[in-house]
Amino acid sequence: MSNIKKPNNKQNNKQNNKQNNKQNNQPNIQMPSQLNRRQFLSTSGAILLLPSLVSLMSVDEAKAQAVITGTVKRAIFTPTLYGVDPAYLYPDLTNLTTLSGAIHTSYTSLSSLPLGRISKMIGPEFNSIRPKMNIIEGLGIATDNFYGHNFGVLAGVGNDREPTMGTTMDVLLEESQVFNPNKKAAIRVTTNHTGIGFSFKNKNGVRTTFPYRYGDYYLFNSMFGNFTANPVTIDRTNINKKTLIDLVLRDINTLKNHKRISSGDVQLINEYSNRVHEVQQRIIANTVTVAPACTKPNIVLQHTNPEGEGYHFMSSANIKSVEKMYENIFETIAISFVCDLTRVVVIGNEQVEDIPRGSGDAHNRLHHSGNMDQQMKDQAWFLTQVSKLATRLNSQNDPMSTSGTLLDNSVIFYTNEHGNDGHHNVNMPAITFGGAGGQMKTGYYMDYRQKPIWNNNGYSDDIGRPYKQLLITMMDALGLPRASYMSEGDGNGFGEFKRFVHHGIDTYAPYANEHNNKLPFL
Amino acid sequence: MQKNIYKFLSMFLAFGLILTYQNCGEFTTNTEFGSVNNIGEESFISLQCSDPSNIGTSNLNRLSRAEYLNTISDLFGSSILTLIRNATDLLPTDKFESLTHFMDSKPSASHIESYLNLGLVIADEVLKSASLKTKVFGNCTTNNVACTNIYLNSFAEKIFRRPLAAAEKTEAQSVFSKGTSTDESLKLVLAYHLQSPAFLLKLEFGSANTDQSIFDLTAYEVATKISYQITESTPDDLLYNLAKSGQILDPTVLRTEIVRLFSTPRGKKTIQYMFRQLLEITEVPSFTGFPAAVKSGKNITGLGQAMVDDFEHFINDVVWDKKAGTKELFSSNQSSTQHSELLKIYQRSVAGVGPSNRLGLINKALFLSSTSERTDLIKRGVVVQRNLLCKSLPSPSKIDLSDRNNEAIPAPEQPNFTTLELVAHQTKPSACMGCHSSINPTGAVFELFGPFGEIRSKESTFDLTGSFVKSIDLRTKSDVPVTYQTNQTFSNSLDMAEYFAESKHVKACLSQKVFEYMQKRNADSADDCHKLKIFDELNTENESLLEAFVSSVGNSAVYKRRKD
Repeated sequence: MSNIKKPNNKQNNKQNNKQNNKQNNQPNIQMPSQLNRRQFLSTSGAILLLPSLVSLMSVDEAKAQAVITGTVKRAIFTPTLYGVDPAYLYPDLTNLTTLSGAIHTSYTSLSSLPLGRISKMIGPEFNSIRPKMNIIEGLGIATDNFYGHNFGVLAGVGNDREPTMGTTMDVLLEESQVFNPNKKAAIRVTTNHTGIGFSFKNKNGVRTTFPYRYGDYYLFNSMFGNFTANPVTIDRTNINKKTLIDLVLRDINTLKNHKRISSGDVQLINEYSNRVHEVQQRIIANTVTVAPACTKPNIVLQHTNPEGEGYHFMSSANIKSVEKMYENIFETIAISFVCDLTRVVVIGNEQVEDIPRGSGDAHNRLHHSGNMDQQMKDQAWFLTQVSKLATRLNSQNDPMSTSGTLLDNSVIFYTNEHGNDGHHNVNMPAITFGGAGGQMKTGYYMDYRQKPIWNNNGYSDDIGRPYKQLLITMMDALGLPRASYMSEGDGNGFGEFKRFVHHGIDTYAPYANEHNNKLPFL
Repeated sequence: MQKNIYKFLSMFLAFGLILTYQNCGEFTTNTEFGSVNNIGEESFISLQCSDPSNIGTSNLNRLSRAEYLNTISDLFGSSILTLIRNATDLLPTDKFESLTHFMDSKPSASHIESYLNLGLVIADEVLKSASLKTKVFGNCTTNNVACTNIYLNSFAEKIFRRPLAAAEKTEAQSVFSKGTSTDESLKLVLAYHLQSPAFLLKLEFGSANTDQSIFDLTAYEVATKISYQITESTPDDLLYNLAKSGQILDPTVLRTEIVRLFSTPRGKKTIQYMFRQLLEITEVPSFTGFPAAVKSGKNITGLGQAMVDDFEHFINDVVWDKKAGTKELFSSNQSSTQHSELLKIYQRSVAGVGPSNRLGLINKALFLSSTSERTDLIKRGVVVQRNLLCKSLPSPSKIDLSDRNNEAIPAPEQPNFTTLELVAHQTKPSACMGCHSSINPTGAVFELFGPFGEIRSKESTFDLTGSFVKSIDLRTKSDVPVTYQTNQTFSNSLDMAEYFAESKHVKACLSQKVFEYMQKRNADSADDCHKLKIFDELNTENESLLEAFVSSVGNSAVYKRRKD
């Protein structure tokens, strides 16, 4: 079994990982073959029409379903490759609050932490969005294939470059009649490689992968190339009614606090407030989401000389500013949300090759260089870009929903194929932004690692809960009916849940009865 | 058979007002109607006024449907009511307590939804009309702070009936930013203000947020208070400017304004409507339930409205032309009608003063006309006892009504009896007589008049098919309890009117009714000075109904509010 270990003392991890990495001699990644156009058309047209089986819904699902009519939700996935070292990603915290009644669950509010840098990868750029993010430690993929590259992270399945089970969340959401009733096509964008494999589905033994757009040039042109005006008739009546009724309810409730109201006035105001609240709930229930007015983003494309979508690697020579290119991508996504052109986005960064410094083989540089500081510096750079995306979405009121910003009504999921740079899949990187319209708690550092920390010769493996529970938590919050995805996996529910015997111990056995549940607390 | 019995019952029991003995005792208080009715001349004479600025407890009120529509009309111009008709049709009618007509200010969800829709519809119409848009927003075409301030410093003040606070302006600017276009932003902020509690509730908090039982109102609140009391609408420009300058707080200016507001068409309507409510004649008679034989030979086209017009002109004549009081109210035989049928009913050939067969408002055709060929004897008796003599008369219980129905004379036999005989037979159980011993003789004096209010000497009866059966001699002379202690014999309602014209008891009752009508609440002991002032305006040689109404609105208490 793996000899990739992490010391309990994270501050000493750097040296240990250097040593471990030297022992790894993994081959270069074999890139999945690119789907040709005919293959894509032949497979992507199949739309799953999965009924919402109310009787099978959990309380969480019902809660999420109940408000989806008033809130358009969106999901963004930013999976990266080559591992993120938990010692760099996660803050080293003590005095966490233990959640009673839950297995190995402890937490603390991110707002309780001092502003500024809280881990090597999470700095002050996250300050403003801390209340709307979660940093989640201790999730692992419960698979018997412990070691290897994994494009199955969005499907909750184990290590494989071409998983033959499961369907990724982006595909499930895109094809969901409930989540995406108008069948808006998902955005899948990458900064370099064709045929990236983070999006797939397996149906009746047939594996289908979904293609990605390249950089800001192709993304922008695919979304707004022929865009002149929103073609959908705009009816913001209910949205305006909700805006107004919210104000009226606030104003009437403010009167309650006036010292010059009589006991009779109190009765009037309470009754008034109750009736306004009643109408408010009717409006929420009747809100029909339609596309609002929107305008084409005004951006200067950074990928100036695209070689074509089939080009294997984007050339850094043709990108004026990588950072600006990401900002363009984020702006395109934000305006696409405003215009309701899409509700699902995947930013697949198979290789952040050449980015931002522009040289070398990303796989080897990030994965096998033996220089963990350098490796994590590149990963941190990308995580910083994700923070910019979250901040951008948080700056925009959601015109499609009755309240909140685009971020409030979305979920951004940052993860990686590995738990660290060494190809193994415990303590998978997991950071979320946004609360899916209030359906998921935000603002916490969660620690799901089993206690005491798994220890092997002084090195921690950080075994914790099944990673797939986070995916279920997000799908619940996004309102996806469980009936639409619980068969997408190994036959035991969503994703994969297999015995992972580590040092003779069946590590995920405590979760045998709850691996298809959402995570505790969130 | 049973069905026919009920048909006949309904003719003269249209208001279900056969009352029960046990609930009709002396000096009982009928809280169901929110009114302490056991007042009389003596109670007013004994009132003591130690603090003229004292005032009874009052609560905040929501705009009534009429007030809302008047206000919208005054803010945006009357033509907007036509444009928003579909939306206003959905605005629910308000619930009023049956006697006092105090409105239940608590809104229903339908009210809230209507306010929401109306706000958006009105804003839509404003933005569609260049002239309205300019009126409301000035030349505001952009979405910036300076431009929106034009609206916030002018038209928004009219909506709120006061200048906006700084926080309210900031909030409005925030609402502006929620629109996806300038027009949508303007629409949102206007719609927001049109359903703000500051608009829909007549807030009276004074100028501070301190916990005081009695506190001074602001000049704007005083202006709003008298404006809605008298005209059922928002202060007009003149009144608003007097509030803005603070001059309205000067008692002389206040009185001038109150008289001015009462002299407006709406102000006059307010006084007219007070008496229509008092006599429970707010509906326009239609005579649709009358048998053809009864209507035969009569020109009933426009007759109901002519009766209304005649009544309202009569009130105007007493209050404004003659500047008179209760004596004239109950003894004048003035009629302005030119309707041929009403002139016939009044036995006159031309409008003006005629024979003394129409003394005062209680002998007006509007009060005397009925809803069927049988006269509304019980209704008349109840109205006089309850509203003119301030007697406490509760409504009968369902059990009492059932007992009463069992006493009914079978329908085929009813044409053999006068209305008074039918009522007397049906209300003879002791449970009924507690109240009907007062009601029946009171209603009887009005039997001088038929179902159109025409003078008659005999009562015509009709069978179930509406065919004439017979004429029966009438008895109108009655011994009527005019207080809980004393009875008075009247030959008929003309005789009663002459008595009422001189009665202090009636003046005292009317004073109480004027107070409740204008203040839209019950009086309590802290209102003694206020009530006494109204009574004094009537209980004098130079009595004046106008001055009674002016006193009901404008006295030193108008500047204050007591919250508990």
